[in-house]
Amino acid sequence: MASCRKTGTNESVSTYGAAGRNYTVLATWESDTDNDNVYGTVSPVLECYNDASSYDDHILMNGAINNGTYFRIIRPAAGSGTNGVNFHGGLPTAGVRFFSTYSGVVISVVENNTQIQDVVTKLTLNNTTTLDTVNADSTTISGVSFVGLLVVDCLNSGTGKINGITLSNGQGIGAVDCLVHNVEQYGINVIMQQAGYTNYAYNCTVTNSGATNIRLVSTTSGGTAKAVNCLTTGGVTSDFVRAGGTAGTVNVSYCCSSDATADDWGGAGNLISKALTFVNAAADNFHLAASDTDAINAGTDLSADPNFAFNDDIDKITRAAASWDIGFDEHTILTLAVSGGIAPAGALASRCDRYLAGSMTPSGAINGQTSKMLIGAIAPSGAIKNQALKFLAGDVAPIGLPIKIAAQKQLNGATVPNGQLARLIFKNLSGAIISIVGTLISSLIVPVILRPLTIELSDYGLDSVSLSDSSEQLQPLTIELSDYGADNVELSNALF
Amino acid sequence: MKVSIALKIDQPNTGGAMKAQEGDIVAVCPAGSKWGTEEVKHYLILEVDLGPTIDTIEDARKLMTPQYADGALCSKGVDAQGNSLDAAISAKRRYNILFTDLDVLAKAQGITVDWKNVRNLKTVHQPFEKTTISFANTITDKFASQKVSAVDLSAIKMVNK
Repeated sequence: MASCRKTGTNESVSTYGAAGRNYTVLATWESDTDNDNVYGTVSPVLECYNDASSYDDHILMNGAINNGTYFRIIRPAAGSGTNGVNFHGGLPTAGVRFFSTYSGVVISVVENNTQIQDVVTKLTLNNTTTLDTVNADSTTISGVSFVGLLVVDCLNSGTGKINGITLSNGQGIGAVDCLVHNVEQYGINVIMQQAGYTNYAYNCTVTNSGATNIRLVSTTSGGTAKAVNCLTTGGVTSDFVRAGGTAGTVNVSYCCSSDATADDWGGAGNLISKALTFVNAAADNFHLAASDTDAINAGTDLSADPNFAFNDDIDKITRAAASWDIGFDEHTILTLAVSGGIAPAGALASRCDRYLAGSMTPSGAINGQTSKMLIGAIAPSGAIKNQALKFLAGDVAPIGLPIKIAAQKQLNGATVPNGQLARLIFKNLSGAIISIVGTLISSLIVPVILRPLTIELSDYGLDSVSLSDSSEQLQPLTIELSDYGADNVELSNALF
Repeated sequence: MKVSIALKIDQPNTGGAMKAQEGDIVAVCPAGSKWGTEEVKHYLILEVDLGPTIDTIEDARKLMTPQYADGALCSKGVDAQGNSLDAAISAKRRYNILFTDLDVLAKAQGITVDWKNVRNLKTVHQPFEKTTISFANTITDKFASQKVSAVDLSAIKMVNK
């Protein structure tokens, strides 16, 4: 099993972001690391911080000598920049974002084995040029992959057009776990024009492209343009199309479309004419909704794929063996043991992800509620204070509203199943105050090796951070538990 | 418009297939931009006045374009079928500022430049940090083998528009 996010051997990590980081411009890092990395036995890595809400920047990676061991990587740094957490979590409103207005590809790779991971890109122009937002385009390159990219809202208001991701020619280049949403022309362009090679789009979600969501071109006998586990909806012309003749092979399998095109070329497991359900498409949250009945468990396992073997999703969650979902998101099923709390009833008993457990959907202030568990992407329209919450998790907190959890048993008894990730993240708390009372203690349920356990408090405001202080102001606060071992992780707190 | 430009400083050739050369314009940012801790060691930073023709940073960044074999001023993008319209890239950058020209300019302005220090990539030495340089007779178009003029900047601005 392997994550789609590759790590290089002997990584040499530099930082990108605002002044104070190593680099403030992508091109300067590119030029500094445009070397024979195989000879140098080094893998240059650029770890990006979201010190700004977005960067007007672009990069052409061209000329470094890499192989499958030593290669260049761009990825978000772990933890937080000054603008919040660096990892987007599948949401284009978060993370490290490159929003370019330069008349060129935002991220273009013309060298072997380079991997771009988990950044958000947007290209907006007003000229006569048709451009890709992200591409790899060369007959000679191999091993390039775009992983966890979010490509959104790309528009050329002139006579030119903008595409999302183009994988052109090459000798095995691909897009994996990517979201392409609302681009002007083609969402993902998979183009193969030479024999003996396959370019691929795996587990991508593509929505609302101005022309076609996924366009497949294979012009040469023996060459293959491939799409597997891809979820498409709302392509203005079509969700899938084949162009450029029929000499080569187009392979579409375990894909899902809102129109009737996913199965136009045969292939196993394709679903057509489906009305797909997302957590909140209007807010660009294309994680699968718990109510989805089409994409969940309808994909195929690619953990042993000969082109690109992987087993995780846009959120870095390990996909469920033998029951992969279609699209960039593996719908997460978490079972949270809540000490003294109330477990969701009925059909929701084992599916505690991204919704409010129980029957409460707050429309106003949550004051003194008796709900014992609040989980998932919840944005109450009112304040949350002085309530008897036992657990607060998920990834969206109220914006600009105070959160005060005093003398509670929050974080008490949250168990993270193997391979899963639980987060408590407060962010976008403009003018808000988070008060934490008590002491946070983490412990293992069973005394085995845990890797990694991360509890992180990030504070970029004017104040300090202390878990045991009773009145700290945190902005943002991230507590993250990661468990990839054979054990469980438990946050326990006996001091409240 | 004034911009802050990062020029490549010659580095030991570690074998990259298409490295930028000394003096190449690697990055263009708005004037006054704060650069990173490695950038100020690895690049010679100049503030350059591009005159009134170039008035947006998007157009100024076209000075970062690679050198295409057909002399295109920037990427032509892709055709309706998604195929690239660009000729092969023949050099990492099309535009540069020769250090020899800068040396002459520095002497004319009474600026002392220790080029050995400039080329020491482990230290920060930015002799031009308090100087604004005019683009005229400074920026070289390597493809055309001539200095960039105001007419050239106008052509750069209007390409693809």
